[in-house]
Amino acid sequence: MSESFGERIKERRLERGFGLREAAKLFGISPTYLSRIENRAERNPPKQETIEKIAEVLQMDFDELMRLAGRFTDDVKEFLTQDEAMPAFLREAREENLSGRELLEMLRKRRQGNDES
Amino acid sequence: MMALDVGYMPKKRIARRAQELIDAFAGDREGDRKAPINVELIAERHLGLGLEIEDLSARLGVTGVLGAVWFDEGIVRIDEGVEHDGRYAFTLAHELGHWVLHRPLWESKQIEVPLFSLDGAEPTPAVVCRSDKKPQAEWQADYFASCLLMPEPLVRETIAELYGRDLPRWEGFNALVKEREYDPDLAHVASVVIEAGGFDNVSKQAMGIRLKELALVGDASDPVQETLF
Repeated sequence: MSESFGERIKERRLERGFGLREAAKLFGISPTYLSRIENRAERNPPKQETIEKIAEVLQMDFDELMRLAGRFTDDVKEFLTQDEAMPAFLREAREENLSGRELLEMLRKRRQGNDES
Repeated sequence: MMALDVGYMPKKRIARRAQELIDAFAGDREGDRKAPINVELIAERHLGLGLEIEDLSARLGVTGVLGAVWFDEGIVRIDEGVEHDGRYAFTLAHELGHWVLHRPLWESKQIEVPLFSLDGAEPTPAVVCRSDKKPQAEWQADYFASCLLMPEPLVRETIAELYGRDLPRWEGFNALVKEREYDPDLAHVASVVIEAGGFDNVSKQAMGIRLKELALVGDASDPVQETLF
């Protein structure tokens, strides 16, 4: 789990004016677990449903939280694991120093080209 | 681990320090001056302290630990076994009492006792608070917690709204206080005050003690108090 996951949650929680225990109740987790996450003492990231709840309560971007937690949503996980060429594709993209944003941009341009033709 | 040898501090001064903390935290947000006083946000957002909940007995190797404050790191740790909201808020408010009342003294001791700041040594808490030990510093922190969670003006206001000038009094109050016995009438009044005043993070026991301490409850045989304020 990324070190900044807990820090981001804590920072946002305090900005929104939620106490530790109050927030833990709203997230549906124990105060001890939330405290461990925030203080980087927890190795296991929360499950997807909990991250959804955190994003909802703290009004944060769900995908960003999932990324910080080192988790993939079920649909992404399925896509990544079902295509056997996917690991090679991702490795090559990394070797080319292509960021996700650049890949997304390439896809969008391709889609635009298809639409125009 | 260092025991704090604190001197006498009058109740009024402790109450004033608690009220000053509430005022500084609330600023112009009037809602933050009202019950329930948000001790978590006072600790984390206003005082900038780290707040952690964990198995403190395991960390410290002693049993019966409710909370502890690490002055050097600026961290308050509460034992994960403190589950009841009232108990939790009181324990945290108690640790804030140490932070506000006793940290300056600890800082001056640090200079006199350099052995406690050995380079590379694991920081140890300045004050470990156990449920069975009540030296002077613990009593002061308890009183601070009581004033922080149940500020006198708010408690008096609630009592006035509920009972007017006719303070709650009943037969047998003095005897039960003297014998330190459980008083069901006091527990009832405490729960009514908690409900009416919105003291959601206060236990009936803590409110009962506060009401007695402020002489807002009494025995039917006591002379009737003329004024509440």
